[in-house]
Amino acid sequence: MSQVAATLRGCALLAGILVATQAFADLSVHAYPQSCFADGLPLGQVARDPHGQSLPLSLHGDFNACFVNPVAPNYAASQVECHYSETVTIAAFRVPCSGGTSATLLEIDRPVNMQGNTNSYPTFPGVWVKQQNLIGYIRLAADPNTTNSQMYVNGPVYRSSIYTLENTIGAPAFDYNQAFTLTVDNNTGFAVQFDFATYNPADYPAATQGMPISGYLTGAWYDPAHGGEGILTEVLDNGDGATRTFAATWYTFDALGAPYWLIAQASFAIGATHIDNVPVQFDGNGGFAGAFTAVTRNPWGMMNVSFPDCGHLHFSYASSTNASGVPTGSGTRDWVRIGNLHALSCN
Amino acid sequence: MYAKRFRLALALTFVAGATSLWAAGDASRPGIAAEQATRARLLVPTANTSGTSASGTSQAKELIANSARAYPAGCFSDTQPSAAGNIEPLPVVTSGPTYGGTVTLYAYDTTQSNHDSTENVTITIWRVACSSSGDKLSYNPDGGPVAATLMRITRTSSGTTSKYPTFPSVRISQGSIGFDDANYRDYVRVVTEPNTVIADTLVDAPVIDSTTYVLENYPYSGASIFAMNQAFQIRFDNGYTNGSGQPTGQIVFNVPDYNPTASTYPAASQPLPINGYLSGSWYDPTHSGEGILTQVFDVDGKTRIFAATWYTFDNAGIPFWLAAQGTFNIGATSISNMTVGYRTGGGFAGNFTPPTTLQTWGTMSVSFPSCQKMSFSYNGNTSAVNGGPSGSGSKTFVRIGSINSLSCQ
Repeated sequence: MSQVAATLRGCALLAGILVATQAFADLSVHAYPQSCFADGLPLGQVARDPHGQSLPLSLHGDFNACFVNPVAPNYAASQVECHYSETVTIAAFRVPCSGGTSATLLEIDRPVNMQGNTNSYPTFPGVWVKQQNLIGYIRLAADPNTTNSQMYVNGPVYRSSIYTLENTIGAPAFDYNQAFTLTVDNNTGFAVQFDFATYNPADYPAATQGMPISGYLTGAWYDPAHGGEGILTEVLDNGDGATRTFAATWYTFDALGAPYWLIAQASFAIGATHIDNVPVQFDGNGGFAGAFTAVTRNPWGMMNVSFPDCGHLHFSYASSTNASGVPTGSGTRDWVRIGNLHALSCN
Repeated sequence: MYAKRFRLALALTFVAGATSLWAAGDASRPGIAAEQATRARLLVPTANTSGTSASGTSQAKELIANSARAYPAGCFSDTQPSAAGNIEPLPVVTSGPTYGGTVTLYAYDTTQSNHDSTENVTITIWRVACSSSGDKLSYNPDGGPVAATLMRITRTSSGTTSKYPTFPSVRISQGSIGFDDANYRDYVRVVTEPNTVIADTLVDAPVIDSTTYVLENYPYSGASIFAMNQAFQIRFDNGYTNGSGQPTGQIVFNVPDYNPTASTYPAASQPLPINGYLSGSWYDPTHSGEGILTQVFDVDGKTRIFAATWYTFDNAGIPFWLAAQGTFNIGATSISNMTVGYRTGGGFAGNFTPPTTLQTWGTMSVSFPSCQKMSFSYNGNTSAVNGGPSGSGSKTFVRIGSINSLSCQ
């Protein structure tokens, strides 16, 4: 941070960077923050949205099956599929993201006894949105954070699946945080319609809780009133699918005002929104550019960290050492992020 | 939210932008629906977020984890979809050696009563160099050079909708896996943007515009993880069969081993373009306790900011930090003579009166030979603090850890 904060701190350049970063992000097609689905797309969360709705809709079978050659071995089965229809559950709901925004998801649930049945199956509906004077088919994607991928109308739906509502580059963009009407059309005369009101984060408990700690909270954090000091955080994969490692390096000063750093590291369970009692340490007996034998790592104290949103690091700290020359103290701080990392934009 | 179910006033059938309802209607293309079903089955991601390839090579574990990854996630991080590039998030212009040729695809002809037609397109296959760390990964079992494999379908009349071709069945034969494998292990996922897990191009989907695709593996636990860097055969099939049910619309191209030289793939022997994937922690394994943290920030779509903080020690062995920062053009593979500085006059946890004083230490130059290595040179001294770190030299540090959601391989 140090110099990032130093160079950017409290001056026009800082504002310039942040404004430019925002403008750059706005150029993208994303309909929700890239960081919203750091843990993947979840099935079956409609009940967690107080405004989420589910409705039954009969989807027809695969028209392609109607044209199978009568002499083909699968002709009889194809005729069944050609005339097949299945009542699925269409769920539409929002999930809160950082910064008062949300993402909107569409889920298609097949009946339990038909999950994965590829002999008889429904096909993907037509989905369109009306927002004020703008009406259009929308892009639906099975992976988060895409710019181009989409589901095709009449494509097979073999199992319950979930899709993000997206925009298309070059087409007018919907703002799914504002009020809109979503229509899911079975292409054979029936449709279900969902009227979304303007997204209100106050209706979603998760919107006001700390963020689940993911790689998107890797970054640089500082106090704008005290530029020159800061914390660099990294969130690393442990590779066990259950935990991650949080690492923080605190760039600060000793009692003489000279540069000094502390280091903190802890493992935490994926999904945690805060990490408590992270051991903080200070090193000794090192040298510059490898000119040393082995450092000594000493306990300094503890810190607790959480992230109210992508832009803020909330932490408390308490030293337990009285080693000479080592910065010590205790307190609570709220620091702000400097900049957005390329390819890991948290907003 | 208010929701309702209703019958449409008109029995509209919205198929705009959809697969053509009758594309598979020709009786001599009976296998399309089955092919679609098979590919959909292969899109069930494995429950585990990590995996091991068929060869037993360990796979770096990530979340959003694509255990079936076919190339490093950072490989296309500087390619932005744009109107000029027909909004494609993959390169639209080939580079290096190309393979392929003319392929006859099924075409949907709105001017014909039965809609059945064909169209000759050019399918070009090429590779682009990615970070080659030498790590043995599921998609790179021999630890050799790594590339991503692209494929472009070029129409002679791109954009024409009165008659348009549809996407073929694409299969790969490699090693013990032959075409028409009984367990569908020859199926390859083909997608219009990088770093997806589930997205796929449906067989028989319309190909309106000339389009670039990247070859991927299916996430299904029984699907193949192809070593795209090694030689393979790729087959395109428009689905037509003869009266005996034998396919008549197949063509196979050979793609040789990826063996980059300075002339064929210049990027393979150069450092990586500097992007967010090179954010991380770096150190010398023989001198643990000292290291450099790098972060690469977005700025304006043309330039980025590189920031490095060197956590080191003064002459008394006490922790001391230096910080470097530089602005560079997107695409640059090195940054030279960044200013390195440090600050004095600060205190702990904001316990000081700003401003602190920025002191110049010297300069630093960096480049990244691969995702796992940072090469840098430095030259400076600490005039404002007695016994502060001073010196010059060149070093190569290695990466510590893999940042969640930003795995550089």
